[in-house]
Amino acid sequence: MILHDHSTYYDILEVSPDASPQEIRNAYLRAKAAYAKDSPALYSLVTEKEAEVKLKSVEEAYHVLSNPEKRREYDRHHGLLSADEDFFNRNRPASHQKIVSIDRVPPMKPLGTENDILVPPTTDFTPTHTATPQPTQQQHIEPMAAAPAAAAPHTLATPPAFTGDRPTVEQILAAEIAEEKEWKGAFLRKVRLARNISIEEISESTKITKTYIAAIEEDNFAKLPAPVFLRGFVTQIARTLRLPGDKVTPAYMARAILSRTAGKT
Amino acid sequence: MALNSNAETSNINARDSGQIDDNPFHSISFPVASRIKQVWSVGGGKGGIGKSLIASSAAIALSRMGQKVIAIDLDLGGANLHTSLGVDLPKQSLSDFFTQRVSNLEDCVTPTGIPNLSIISGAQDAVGIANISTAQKTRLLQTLRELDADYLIFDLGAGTSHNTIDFFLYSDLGLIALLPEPTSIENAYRFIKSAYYRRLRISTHLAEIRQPIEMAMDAKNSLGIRSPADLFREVNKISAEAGMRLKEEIEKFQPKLIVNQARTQTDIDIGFSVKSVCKNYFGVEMDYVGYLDYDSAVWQAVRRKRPLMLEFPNSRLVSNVERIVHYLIKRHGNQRNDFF
Repeated sequence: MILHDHSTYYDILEVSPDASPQEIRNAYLRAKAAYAKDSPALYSLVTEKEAEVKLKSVEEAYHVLSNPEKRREYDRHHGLLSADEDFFNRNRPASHQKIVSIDRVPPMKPLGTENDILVPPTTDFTPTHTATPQPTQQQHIEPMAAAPAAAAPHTLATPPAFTGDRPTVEQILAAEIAEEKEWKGAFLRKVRLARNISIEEISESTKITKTYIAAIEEDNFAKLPAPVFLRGFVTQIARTLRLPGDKVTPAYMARAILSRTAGKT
Repeated sequence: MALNSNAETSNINARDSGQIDDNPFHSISFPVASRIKQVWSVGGGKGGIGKSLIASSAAIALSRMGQKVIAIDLDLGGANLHTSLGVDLPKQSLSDFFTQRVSNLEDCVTPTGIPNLSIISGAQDAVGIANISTAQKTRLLQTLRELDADYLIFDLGAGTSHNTIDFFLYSDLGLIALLPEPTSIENAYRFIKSAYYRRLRISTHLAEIRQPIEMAMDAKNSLGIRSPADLFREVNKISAEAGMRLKEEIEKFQPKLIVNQARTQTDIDIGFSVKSVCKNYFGVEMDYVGYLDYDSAVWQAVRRKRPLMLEFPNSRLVSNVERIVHYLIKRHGNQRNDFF
């Protein structure tokens, strides 16, 4: 980081611009642990004050990158092309041509040379990788991976094995999410834990009280407010957990309403 | 600037003199024909953090993969790699090479009884041998890559003396061992810092900015350079091109991190934190290549003077080591020192 005059939020979290939300979250948790007040890794090298400054920038970076809209806005503003660029690089013909995004070139500069391939701006880019299973997992990230994406599940007695070619928690989770029909509270809780998100964090971002979030996860319908409010809560929680709201909410509400009518009779 | 042959004073002179008369690298050349694929070294600053254990275990793991390995004990004056490998102190050691009792380094290579694995033992039998001169060090470094082996594994001594740091910088893969405790972390940082600045200082690409680099090595310098970030800023003031070159040189320094004696997930995670802090502080990309579980079997193996790999072949620790070695070959097998 010291080698850049202008570091991006991605640099601060040490992730690549095409990192998945889960990768960003893992990186955020790691950076927070590294610069926490009692972190042993700071000893003798980084002062408490420097760590505080760093932590602040980590929070700032995560605040933007964890929010899909803010992140897209940020990417566009900084001329970051994320996943599309990767795609072009992989399919690039072996030649001296460069990929020049019109997006990236300041208006006064010539657009590369005649031979370069010009690609249109990708301003309407919507991250598609939320749906693709990313080989990540919750807390136990193994060393070795240059990018945290290649991490394998943490087991203490693993034989020599290479990371990346085994299904990981997130992959398994993505498969389960694709199959899920009932969307019970317990399943929401499972997803939340696997993605390493606390009730407090959901409460903070959605402004739903912790009691309600807990009750939703317990399917404790008696404790929950009227359906018109509950519907909004479930939709928001689903969004925070990056789950398909159009599937989660109807299924959950159907059960909530059913239990309510059953309780009355 | 004659090479200083007085062993006692060479280190002191080297630190004070403005000249790079202690640079062993610009007088050695890469042998035309070298069988050696890679040289690995294990360092870390502090004593008792498992350097010898990691070096000997990695050497055995490599030899089991059919590679011809020579483990070299460069903990001059405190050598005990032979004990970790379960062999008696070999007749010929590095001190015979330094005192020119043997002319050929190949004569110091002693079989260990383990297939494919030999050892060059450190010098035990001459007091004061820990302080080899630059000339002796240069002679050793010049000959090492002529040895008949696929891999050389260096077991380095504790501390951050120029000799230790130079052996570390000479290797293609520098492994840094770390225990999850403050004393070890402090010494590991000191070790990284020493290697980092020494590498920059002796780099031929950075000759014109040697002065600010040397100032940065002294924490109380007059320019107020307190950290690599300050140095980078100062150098960029001199010229943007010099800044670019400094950046390139910094990015070539890629030590690997191993956390030893991990008891909990928190211990394992310290590796990530250290990696992140190093990236921020030094601008160095340090791959965290793995951890070794705390294992009470180690002391039993040590007491029996038997290599852990052979004594407890099914232990978790052994599988940790094998995993790291496989990873290093797969991921960093092509990394080569570009010092020559």
